[in-house]
Amino acid sequence: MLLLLTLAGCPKKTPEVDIVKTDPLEKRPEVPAAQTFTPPEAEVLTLDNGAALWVLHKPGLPLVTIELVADGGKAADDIAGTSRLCDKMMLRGAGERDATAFAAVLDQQAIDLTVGTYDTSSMMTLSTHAGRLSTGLELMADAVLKPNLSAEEFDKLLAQTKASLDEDLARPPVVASWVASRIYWGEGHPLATPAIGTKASLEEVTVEACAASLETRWKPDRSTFVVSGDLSAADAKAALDAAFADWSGPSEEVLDLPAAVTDPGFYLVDDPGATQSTLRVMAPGWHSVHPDRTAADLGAIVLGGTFTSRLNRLLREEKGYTYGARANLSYGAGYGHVIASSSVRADVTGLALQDLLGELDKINAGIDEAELEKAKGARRTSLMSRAETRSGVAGTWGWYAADGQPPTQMAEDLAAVEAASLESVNAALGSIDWSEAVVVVVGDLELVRPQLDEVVGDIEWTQVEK
Amino acid sequence: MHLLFAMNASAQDLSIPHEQYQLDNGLNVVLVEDHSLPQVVINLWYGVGSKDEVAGRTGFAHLFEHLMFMGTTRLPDSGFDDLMEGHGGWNNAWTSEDATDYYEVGPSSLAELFLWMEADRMDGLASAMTQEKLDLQRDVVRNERRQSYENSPYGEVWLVMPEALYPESHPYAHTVIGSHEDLEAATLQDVVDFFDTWYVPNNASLVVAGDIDVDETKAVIDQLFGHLEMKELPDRAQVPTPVKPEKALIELTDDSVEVPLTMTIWHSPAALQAGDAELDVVSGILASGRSSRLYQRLVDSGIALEVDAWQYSQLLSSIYGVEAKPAEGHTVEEIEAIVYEELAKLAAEGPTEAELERVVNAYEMRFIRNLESLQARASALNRYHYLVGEPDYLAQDLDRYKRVDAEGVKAAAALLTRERAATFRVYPADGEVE
Repeated sequence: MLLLLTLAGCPKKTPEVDIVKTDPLEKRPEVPAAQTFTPPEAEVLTLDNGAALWVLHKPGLPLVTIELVADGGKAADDIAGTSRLCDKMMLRGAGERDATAFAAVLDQQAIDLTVGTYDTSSMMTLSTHAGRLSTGLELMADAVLKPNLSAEEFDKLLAQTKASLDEDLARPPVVASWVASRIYWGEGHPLATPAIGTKASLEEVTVEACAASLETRWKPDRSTFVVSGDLSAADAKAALDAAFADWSGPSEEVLDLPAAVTDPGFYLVDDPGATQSTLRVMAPGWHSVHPDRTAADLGAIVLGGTFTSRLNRLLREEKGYTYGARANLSYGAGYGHVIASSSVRADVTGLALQDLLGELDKINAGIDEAELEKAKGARRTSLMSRAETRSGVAGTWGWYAADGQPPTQMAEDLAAVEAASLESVNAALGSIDWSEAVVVVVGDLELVRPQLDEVVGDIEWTQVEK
Repeated sequence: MHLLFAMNASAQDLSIPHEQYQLDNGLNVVLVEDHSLPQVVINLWYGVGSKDEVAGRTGFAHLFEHLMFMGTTRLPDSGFDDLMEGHGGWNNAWTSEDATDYYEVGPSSLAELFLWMEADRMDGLASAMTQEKLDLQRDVVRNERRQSYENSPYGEVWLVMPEALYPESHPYAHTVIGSHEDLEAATLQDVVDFFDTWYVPNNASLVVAGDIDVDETKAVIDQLFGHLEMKELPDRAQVPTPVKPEKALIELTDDSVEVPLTMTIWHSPAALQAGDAELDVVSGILASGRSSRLYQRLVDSGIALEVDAWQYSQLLSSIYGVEAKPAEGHTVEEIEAIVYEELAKLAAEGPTEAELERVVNAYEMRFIRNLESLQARASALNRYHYLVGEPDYLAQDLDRYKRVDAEGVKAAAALLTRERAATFRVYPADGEVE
């Protein structure tokens, strides 16, 4: 530092030197061929009760994660919010333990037991030290087979759920997502409402309804266990057969998801005082086992799946409108869509939406070879990272089961990535019909509406509630 | 997997095998060889954060983090991300009050490229900086401020908190994200000065973890980083741990929320210092899991919708927080009174043996789970090196929790009094603010 200060006060002069210095950083390293990543293979078994069992043995640490995937999810709801609320009730006391005693065992032994409710499935996740697996399985089995469903716990959970809903409704990206889904699927469709339900629907859910909801959805013949960790396939089967010996009964119905009644167009939600506007586009896409899904997925990565994607580059790095913009495929068993979204500065909402829609149009024309290679690299790395942890493996294979995909899906996805050609990806991208998309803007309409009218042009906007 | 651990064994069994050394220019290097997957993680940690910002330049350390991705002479403009993503890698970074951390993840074939890219920007980021780049990232950061705080429920609490807690002269007296005004004021010269001062090898620690050959990696690091010159780092003034916040009560309204929030904050001991683990244990006893004391008193009883307690451990000194949202028909004042009751009870009577065991069990599992991934291990090695000068401090860290006893918990809880606290209350816009 002292030297620099001294030099700063001197006339600038370059000394003559005889030694030619080489720059150690001048030559950029060549990148050798990457080693092949071989995904873990699941051993596939069937439990005595009929449930499927996929085991991905991963020793090295004394950890075990078990995902129990049950068909149904929010799509099974007659009243929105029922499945999620009732799934959570499974962990509010079960077997001989009331809610407090049940939680106390989990807490004391550092066992994680959680449940999530999604579009067409629910997942219960047990993550524990291998030495405490028997206790964890006992609690998991009690939760599935013998939930207490106490009225007192139901009331507490309902109050907490309503508060969570209020908080979610204060988050513009969540609102944009929910509104887009509502309009995309159409009034009355089981996927039109969020899993948490609505303020009105939650008033109708009863503890009595929970028993029926759980009885319908959590059945061995519609369930898959995924085990990853320090447990062999034989040991996993033995442990699960013992813990779930009393689980029985075929399911009464198989969920048949009705078609969407999409009402494409442009929709506004007022958010007075918002310093940012949230933009969201939802268009028809590819379901989980569609043969073109991987090709479309690679195209979506180019559109908005990485930092250098087209959307993020334009809206964030070139225009400075946002902290981030992204696009991705969202899919399940029998349905799928393309999503593009960003939260942008309120005063440039019109310009940002214009740019975003412009990129959507451009992606129909396809991508180039360099973009395809980038997308392939991103997807390979992403798939590899899911094989790193036990919870990552169980969660990934759990989603394969939930989405109706086989236990070999990761290997198939890797092969599909290798096989994808520019032609196949561009054909998929060219087939995206943005005229069928739902476009939602959540923002301060007093500020935003004039911009949209001026910049985006001749579009008919419909204002809707949150 | 190179992480060794056996439950119920001594904490000394917890370890990440590694090799550590320093280059002549002061760059700390930690290498971890793990061939479980053909991947590599680079973690480059600079010992500079928002605490090192000068007056009128709040948010600059974080703004600078964004500028680190804007290109050099050798790899101009967006080349850093283009090149990395073009080969299947990805990266990110974060800035805190204490440090700035950059990391890259990808196939192990990218290890040398990653190292070259980091060496390149450590060598010459500032010389390629332009006003256009600065202006662009300034806009991006201001958007981040809007998205993460201004347009987020209860977000303003975090914006007003530092000023309420610390005297104006304290390094933590402003937010990491900074003010719009200060971000607007940042100049190109600020960028050059900040880079020349802080982005030097002797203020950095490099972890390379994954499917690598240690000897080859050493040679590459020596070649790419060895020529970079060390510089004298500025003296950092020692600041005493504040005892009492500057303000006792801060009330805000937020028109995006429907439920009030109360958050009580205390000054607390620095990371890994005496009292730090004890407060983590206090958090576990109070609010971790349904069987915790505050969950039972507040949530199970229907008074609050949720409750949380945490120790945010930092280099100079930390803060401890308890936050909760009242259920319908209950108030933030009612909650605060119960929190103080429970703290006083804990300070007087101490925890039960079962409570201590529960919290230690939770930490043991957290250590194992957090260190499953290569990224988490690389980050932990750099964090420990920064805080205590020793990367593999896992066993000692876990041992801190195992050694916490009832008296330590009582002493920690005894410091959490109303007189030493700052209380933040957020009300819905249509709620009443007294």
